Amino acid sequence: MKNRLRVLRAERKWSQADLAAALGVSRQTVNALEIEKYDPSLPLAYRIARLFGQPVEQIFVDEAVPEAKDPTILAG
Amino acid sequence: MSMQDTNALNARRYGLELVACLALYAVLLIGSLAILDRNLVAWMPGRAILGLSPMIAGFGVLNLMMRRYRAQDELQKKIMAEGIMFGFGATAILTFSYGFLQRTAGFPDVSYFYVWPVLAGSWGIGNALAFRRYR
Repeated sequence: MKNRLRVLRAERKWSQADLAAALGVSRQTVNALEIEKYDPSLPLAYRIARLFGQPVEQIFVDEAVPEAKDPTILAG
Repeated sequence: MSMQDTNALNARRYGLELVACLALYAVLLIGSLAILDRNLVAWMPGRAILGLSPMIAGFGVLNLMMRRYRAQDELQKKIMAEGIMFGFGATAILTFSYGFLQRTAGFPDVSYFYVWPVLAGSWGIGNALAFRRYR
């Protein structure tokens, strides 16, 4: 799954260690998320969203369902 | 204190506790062997209890391993689980293979002590493989 974690972190001039500390995970986990080798659990995704003050779907992009980027489509 | 500091502290504390467990293991092992080798205890249940005494430290290590696992974050847990799964399967294959070789090709009996090094070694390889997948 694609995500904008690295961009969001760079905008705030945080190191991976800073972000890891803020999220309560290891730096290795932040790195795996940024290089998109690992998709976070729902609770961690929401922690990330809260931290950056953005909705989950604006940080993580489900490539399988491009329309899902617009949540109103799912609401039918 | 940041989470990073907490992790560092935890790692250090776990390290210290592990050293303490291993030191206890060494003391119990050397002490029990000294008593048993001198035949100071003839009563068989007593000898069995003395012989098992180093495993008190083993329970300490088991407790430590479980606490360490629970303190990991979600990706670290996943990596550990993949490593253990690999070690579990590889140990099954290796111990069964040796069992068949004993039956069919006359390979000598070996001590149960070899099970742990086989498991620990294959767990280590599994951990390294799983670690590589996420970097």
